[in-house]
Amino acid sequence: MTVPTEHLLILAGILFAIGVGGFCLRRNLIVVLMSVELMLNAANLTFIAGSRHHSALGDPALDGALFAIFVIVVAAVEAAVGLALVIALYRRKQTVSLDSLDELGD
Amino acid sequence: MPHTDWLWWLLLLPLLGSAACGVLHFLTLKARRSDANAKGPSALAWPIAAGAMGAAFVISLLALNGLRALDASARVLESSAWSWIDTGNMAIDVSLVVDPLSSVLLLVVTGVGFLIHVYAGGYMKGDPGYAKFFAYLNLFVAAMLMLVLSSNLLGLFIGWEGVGLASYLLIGFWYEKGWPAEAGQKAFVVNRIGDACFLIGSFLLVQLFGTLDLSDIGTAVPALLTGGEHSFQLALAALLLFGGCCGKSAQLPLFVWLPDAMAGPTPVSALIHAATMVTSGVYLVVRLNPLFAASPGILFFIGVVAAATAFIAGTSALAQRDLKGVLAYSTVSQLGYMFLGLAAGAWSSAIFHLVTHAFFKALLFLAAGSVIHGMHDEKDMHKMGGLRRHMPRTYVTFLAGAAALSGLPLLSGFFSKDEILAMNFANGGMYYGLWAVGVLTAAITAFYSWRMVGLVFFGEERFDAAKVHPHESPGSMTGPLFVLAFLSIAGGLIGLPPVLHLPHVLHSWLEPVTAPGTAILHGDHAPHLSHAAEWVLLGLGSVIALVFAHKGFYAYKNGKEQDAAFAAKQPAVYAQLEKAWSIDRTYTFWIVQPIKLAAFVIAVVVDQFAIDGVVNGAARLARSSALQLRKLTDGGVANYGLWMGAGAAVLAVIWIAGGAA
Repeated sequence: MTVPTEHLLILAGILFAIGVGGFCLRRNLIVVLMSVELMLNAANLTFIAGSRHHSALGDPALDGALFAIFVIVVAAVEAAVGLALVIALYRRKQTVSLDSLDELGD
Repeated sequence: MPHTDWLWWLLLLPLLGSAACGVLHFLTLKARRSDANAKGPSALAWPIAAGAMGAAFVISLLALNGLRALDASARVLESSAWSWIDTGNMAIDVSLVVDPLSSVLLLVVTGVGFLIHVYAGGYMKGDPGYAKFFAYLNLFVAAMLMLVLSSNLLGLFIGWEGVGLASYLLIGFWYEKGWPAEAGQKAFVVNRIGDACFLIGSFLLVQLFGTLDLSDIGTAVPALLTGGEHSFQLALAALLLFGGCCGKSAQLPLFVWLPDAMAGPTPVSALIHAATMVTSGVYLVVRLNPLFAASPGILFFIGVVAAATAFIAGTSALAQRDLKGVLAYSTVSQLGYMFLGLAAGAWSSAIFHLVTHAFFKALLFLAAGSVIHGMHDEKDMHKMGGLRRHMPRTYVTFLAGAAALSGLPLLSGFFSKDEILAMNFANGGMYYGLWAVGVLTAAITAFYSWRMVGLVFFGEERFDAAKVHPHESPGSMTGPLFVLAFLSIAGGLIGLPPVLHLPHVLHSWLEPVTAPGTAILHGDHAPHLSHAAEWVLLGLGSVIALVFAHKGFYAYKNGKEQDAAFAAKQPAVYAQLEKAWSIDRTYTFWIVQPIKLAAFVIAVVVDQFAIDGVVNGAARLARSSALQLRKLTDGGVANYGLWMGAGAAVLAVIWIAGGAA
C-alpha cells in the first residue's frame, strides 16, 4: 500500500501555498527566507513524486531525484548567502523587518 | 644574380633624412618654447636632407652602371625583401626593381631632386618651418622612389599615395595664410577621384591576370589578347588606370588642382608639381605599355584628352599675370604633350619629354623662385620688368629655360617635342588632328614663354623702386640654376632624331621595356617617316618656335600694354583665358556648391532632426517608461514575489496552452 501520487502533489501544493503566503505576508526577513525554503521543498516533493510515478519495478527513473539534489544544493547556498545578508542587514539597521528596506523605490 | 641589397638604400636614405629633419624640427620647437627667436638646430636640416639626396643620386648612378654591365635583354636588378601577401593563388612581395625605365626616372628624381634640395636651402632660409620643410621634401622623395622602384602595382600605389600626401603637406606648408591649406585640400580631394579609378583598375587587373607584378602583367597581355573575349576588360582596366593618371598628372578633367598647388613654396612647385610627381602618370603608362597598347581605342582617347589639355592649358597660360601661374598652366600643357606621345605609342618619346621637361621646367620654376625671392614675394609680372639688370644670373638661366620650353632649335625641348609630334604625324589617320593641335600648342608655348621673359626681365621697372630693391639670389640658389640651364640646353643630346644618323641613346636604352607594347600595337610594321618628311617637320617646328618666340618677346619687351590691348580688343576671350576657360568655376558651381549645399542640408535637417530625433526619442522613451516602471520597485519584497509569481503563472499558462495545441 503506497501513498498515491495525487496525494503527494496535493501536499506539495499546500506546502507551496504556505510558502507563498509566508513570503508575501510576513515582514520578518528570516521567516521570508524560511518560506522560500518551504517553496523549494514543495518543488522537491513534486520532483520526487513525478520520479516515482514514472518508475517501473527494477527500472527506477532517477531524473526527478537528480533535480531534487540540485535544488537542495542550490537551497543550501541560497540559505548561506541569505542568512549572511540578514546578519549584515541586522548589523546596519538593528532590525530584520522588510518594512525598513524600501529606500530603492523612493 | 648580382648582389642587389644596396638598392634599399635608395628608399632608406631619404626616409632617414626625413626622420632626422623631423627630429630637428621638434628640437627647434622645444628651443623656441623658452626663447621665441631661438634658431635651434634647424640649420642642420639642409646638409642632412641634401646629403641624403646626393647619396641617393650616387646610388642611382651605381644602379645605372650596374645595368649597363648587364646584357641588353637582361637589364634588371631586383631585390626582394620579404613576401608581403601570399594568398595561395596571388603573391605580393615587397621588392624593388631597377630596369632601364626606372633607372632613367631614378636619375631624374634624385638628380633634379638634389639640385632642388640645394636651392631650397637658400630659398627657405629664415622660415620658421625650415627643418619641417626638409623633412617633408625628403619624405616626398622616398615615396617617389617607392613609386618608381616597386616591382608591383600595390607598392607603386603606396608610393603614389605617399607622393600625394607629401604634395598635400607641402602645398599647405604655409597653412597659416589660409589659402595654401585650402589649395592642399583641393589637390588631395581631386587626386582622390583619380586614385579611386586607379584602385578599381588594379582590382580589374587582379581579376584578369591574378597578379599585380608589373612585368608579369606585361608579359601576360598578348596571351589574353589572342583569345579576344577579354579585350573589353583590358580596355576598361587601361581606361581606369588612365583615370588615375588624369588626377596625378593633371589632365582634363582633373587638372584644376595643379594651378592652385602653386600656393606651396617654389622649390616644391619645381620638384613635385613640375619635375617628378606629376609625371608619375606618364611613368605608369610606359610601365604598363603592353596593357595600353592592347586597346588602341583607349590610346586614341588618351590622345584626345591630352591634346585638349595641352591646348586649353597652353591658351590659359597666355593670359596669366602670376609668374608661377604661367608656369603651372605650362606644366599642365607639357604633361599633355607627354600623354600625346603615349597616345601615339611613342613610349620612349614621352619619357624623353619627361626628362627634358624635368630639366627646363624645374629650371624655370627655380629661376622664377629666385625672381620672387629677389622681388620680396611679388608674383605679378605686371609689377616686374627690367630685372635683367638686377639679377643677371637668374636672367641668363631663365632665358635658357624659356628657350628650351619654347622649343628653339637644338635645345632639349625642341628635340623631345618634335619627336612626339613626328610620331603622331607618322601614325596618320585621325592622329593628324592630334598633331595639328600639338603644333598649334607649340606656337602658343613659344609665345607665352617669351612673354614671360619680356614682362619679367625687359621694359621699364614697374615696381616701386623706393620700396622694392631687387637683388640677385645667393650662390646656393644660382648654382643649381646653372646646372639645370646646362641640362636644359644639352639634354636633347640623349635623343637625337633619326635623320641625323646619330644614336638615339634614350630610345635604345628603353628598348627592352617599350618593345612589348610596340610589338602589340604595330606588329612588325612600326609607322615610319621618310627622311624628307622628318626634315620638313623639324623645319616646321623650328620656324614655328622661332616666329612665335619672336612675336611673344617683341610684344612684351617694352611693357605690359599688350595685355591691356588684347583685353580691350577681345574682352570675352581674354576673360575666359584668364579664368582658364572657367573650368574650375564650372566645377565650383555645378559640383562643389551642390555638394556643399547637400552637406549643409544633411547637417542641419537630416542630422539635427531625423537622426538626432531618433536618438533623443529613444532616450526619452526609455526615460519616460522607466519613470512608470520604477513604481513597481517600491522596495516591498512581497510585491516582487507577487510579480514574479504572476510572471511564472503567465508563462505556465502559455506553456500549457502551447503544449495543448
